Amino acid sequence: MRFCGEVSAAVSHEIKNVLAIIKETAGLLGDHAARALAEEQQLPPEQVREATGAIDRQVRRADGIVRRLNRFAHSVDRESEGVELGESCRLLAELATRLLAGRSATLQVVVPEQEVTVQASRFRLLHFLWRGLESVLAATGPGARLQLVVSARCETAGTADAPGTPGIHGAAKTVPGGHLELSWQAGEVVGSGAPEFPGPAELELLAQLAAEFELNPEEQRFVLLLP
Amino acid sequence: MAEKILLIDDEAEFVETLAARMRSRQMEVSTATSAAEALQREDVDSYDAIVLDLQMPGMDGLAALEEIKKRNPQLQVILLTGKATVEKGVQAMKMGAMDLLEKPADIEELTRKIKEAGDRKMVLVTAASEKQVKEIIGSKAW
Repeated sequence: MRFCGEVSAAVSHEIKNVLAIIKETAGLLGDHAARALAEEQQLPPEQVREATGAIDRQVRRADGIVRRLNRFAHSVDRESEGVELGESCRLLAELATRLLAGRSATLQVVVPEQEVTVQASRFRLLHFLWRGLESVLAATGPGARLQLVVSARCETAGTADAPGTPGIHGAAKTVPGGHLELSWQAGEVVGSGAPEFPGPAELELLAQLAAEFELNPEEQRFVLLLP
Repeated sequence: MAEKILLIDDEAEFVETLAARMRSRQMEVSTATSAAEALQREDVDSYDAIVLDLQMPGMDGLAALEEIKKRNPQLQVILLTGKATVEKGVQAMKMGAMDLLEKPADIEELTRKIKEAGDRKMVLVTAASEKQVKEIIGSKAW
């Protein structure tokens, strides 16, 4: 519930900002029209064009925000479905725009050429990653740079990891499942340093996702392995 | 006399459009898209009112309000917010904000508040000047 509330609050804030711009732009056009009327002049076409252009930009922006919210709302439709990890991570980054901006942080999502699809609950996956983001941001302070890398799961000599992971030798074999790695560099002000993650609620999400998780605070990264 | 105001909001398009509307109401307007940028201005003390977005990346509205009031308690700050909560509103008023308006704010209401801010600042500056004069007159040095 808290997760849904946080996402809705962030999205509604973005929509409010868009509405505020539309309102002020319409108001400005109204001001121009009132002045033109008072001076018995024609309303200059460029003022109309500027205003309609601004409104059009904001309507398209709002459309993007609402589409995003719609994708998120439908993430609860199925208990388990084919979840494309690249798309889900991009959605997470978009939903977290305000969360990141509030801490002057950036999140780069890196996806492979080949889509990586896992069978999972999209909602739980988003929920887990959102909590991870929050914990990392709380630990790193403002200005952090985060990177979320999606890759297929690979198996090398009895271990499962991402292809090309340093330190692993031998031929890597791609196996079903996905590998997500969130790494970060702290900003100007360093917080506690290590995210307090996962807590009991996140451990439950991990169990529901049947995922494996590894946090490495020294290397400033965590890895989520999805079946 | 035209009110001199400083608008601070991270939404550049919002702040510029609002500024244009305020200018058409004969106000002298400056803009900034972050609190840090605004606080670097050397003329911060000279504004009749500072209109500030509550939620901004980096230094947020409340932190900026605290800094502004620390620098000059006479400065009048009006906060704008996309999502007003009672707690934040109470906190802002306790910290010395003149008012908190929800976005999208009504332009006439905002204009009224800005004029009120100008009057308040004038009263505070006059009172401070009178106090200063009385202190000078009452001092031994005089």
